Amino acid sequence: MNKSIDVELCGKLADSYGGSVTLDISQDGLSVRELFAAVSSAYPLLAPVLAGGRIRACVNEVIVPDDAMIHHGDAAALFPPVSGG
Amino acid sequence: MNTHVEVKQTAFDPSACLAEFVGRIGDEGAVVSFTGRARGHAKDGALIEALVLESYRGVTLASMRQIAADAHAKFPITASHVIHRTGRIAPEEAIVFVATASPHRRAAFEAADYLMDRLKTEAVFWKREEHASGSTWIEPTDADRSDAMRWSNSLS
Repeated sequence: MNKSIDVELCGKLADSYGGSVTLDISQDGLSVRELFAAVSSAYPLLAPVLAGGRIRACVNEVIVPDDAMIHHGDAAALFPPVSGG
Repeated sequence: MNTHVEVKQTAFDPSACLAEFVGRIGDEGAVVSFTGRARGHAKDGALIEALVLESYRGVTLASMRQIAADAHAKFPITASHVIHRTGRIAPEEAIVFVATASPHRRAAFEAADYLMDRLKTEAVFWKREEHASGSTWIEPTDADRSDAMRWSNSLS
């Protein structure tokens, strides 16, 4: 059975669809790499920037590599390059 | 490590921050502080109505704490104070306050400079300037990056 997950969009990533998007994910979860593909497919205005190699995934307040897994209930977010303070 | 690191959602008074900092240190001979304020004009001269800083949960605070910890590891300072605003900031309001203390001035000056260079490039914030014709996302400038690079040769 699929479950959904909200992915927060930080900084300029929120310009197209607002501050978060919702995805259906399988019971087994998905990798960060798969998350990027799923977001790009469901929210195509984000596809070019996600393909640019500068976006990082954050899961439960930790910036994670592309092979990290995301499960239902995790706090997932996508970070563009930071502006600094 | 005697440090206080905080993200504030509302306006703060740098003078009160400095008084608080001085109140929790000992008899160190040097205290250096820096206040960064929101500018009223963009680089192209356009009037800025507000600067908006976004942070992300505990990640932003953790990035600031790491920078403060690095400053304590790198310089012989005894205490530090790092306050950063988030949210909508009007021109002339304080964005950031940094203070350092040490027995002698050089370390306090250098640590404050280092803290600001790292905060300006690495702290987890996203900021945009709001002006009459819309808003513009801001990224660190080349000057910000080269300022931060000054310290990298001697980073452990």
